[in-house]
Amino acid sequence: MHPVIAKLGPVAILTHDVCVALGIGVAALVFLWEVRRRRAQDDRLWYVLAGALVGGALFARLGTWAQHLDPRDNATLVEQWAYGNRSILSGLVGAYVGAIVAKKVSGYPWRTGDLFAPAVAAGMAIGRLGCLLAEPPGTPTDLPWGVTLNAAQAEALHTVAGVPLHPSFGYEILFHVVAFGALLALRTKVTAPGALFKIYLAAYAAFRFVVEFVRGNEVVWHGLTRPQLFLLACLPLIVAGLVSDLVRRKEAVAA
Amino acid sequence: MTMPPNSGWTVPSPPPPNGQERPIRGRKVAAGLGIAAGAQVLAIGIGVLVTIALASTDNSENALFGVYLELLLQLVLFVACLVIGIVWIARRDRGLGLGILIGWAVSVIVFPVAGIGVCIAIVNANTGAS
Repeated sequence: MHPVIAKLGPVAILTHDVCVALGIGVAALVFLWEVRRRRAQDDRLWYVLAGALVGGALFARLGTWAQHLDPRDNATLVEQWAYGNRSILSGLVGAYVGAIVAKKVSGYPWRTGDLFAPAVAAGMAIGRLGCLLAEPPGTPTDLPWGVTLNAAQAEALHTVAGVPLHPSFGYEILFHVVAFGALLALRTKVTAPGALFKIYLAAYAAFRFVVEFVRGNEVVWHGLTRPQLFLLACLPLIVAGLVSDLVRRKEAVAA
Repeated sequence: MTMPPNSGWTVPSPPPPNGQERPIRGRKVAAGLGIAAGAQVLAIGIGVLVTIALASTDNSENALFGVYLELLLQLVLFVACLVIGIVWIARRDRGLGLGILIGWAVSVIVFPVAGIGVCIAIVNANTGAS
């Protein structure tokens, strides 16, 4: 565990922040590369990018606000903004909504998900390195690659010391690296507009659902965590959207 | 014989399509991004410095005002970036306006703990709270 990467006087440079910044930088480069490769250069894509980032930022910080069915149990918006949970799942939803709103506002008529798909996978792989190095790893395991924390690390992360734990963020990094390679291989084969991004989202949702069993998040209902309940609601919508895209493409080719 | 260009006999050229008269330049977007990110760093710096200064006084409970100041600065920054960004997109340099919006969003994603979190940690350290 290395939550602090460097110290400049009294200011600590946090590993998590550095990795997230690097992830965003790499994602931006991959996005530009994909835009050029697909010859999709259009001024209005800047609006879509801004919409996705603003939506992602707002939802990532406020998306987990309504955690309890009884609203009195939820933190205030100020508390949530100040030190509430940050969620990549909420961030992805916010980015999706933000991109759709920006497309409407700017009048950009085409699908943009496929431009974002490899960029999101690359950015997440790097950003999650920060989580791996600075957040509680996961549930106890007997597997040989379990991560064992010393007493000081365990106290700082509010977890147990001297017990091997699942490196759940390591699993996620592996997923995103493999997904990035698969998306590069599939991007010339999957021709239905928008389908590539939805394939990635569906795969990530399914993978994340499984990883949640070893993440160590709070179990809230029937052995499931809040992200799993959220994914149970989202996954059918993503699959329905994917099937719709593929059917529409098939009909267009047949016509 | 050639017609003078503005003789009234010539057909005026059609207006450029919406937006083309103000192209978005990557350099301007980067400048806007830098402005917003710099403002975020400044807001965090001011809040943390004020909290440290108040925490080092005789009544360290006053350090809580540093947290409130940081919250206020974050709110002001959000509203300022949103309003300035949209106004610049609509009326002036679209690249700079978009850069300000993108810069605010990126800084909010990158600095999740910095600022308010650091201020709260300073207050807790000085008041003995866990």
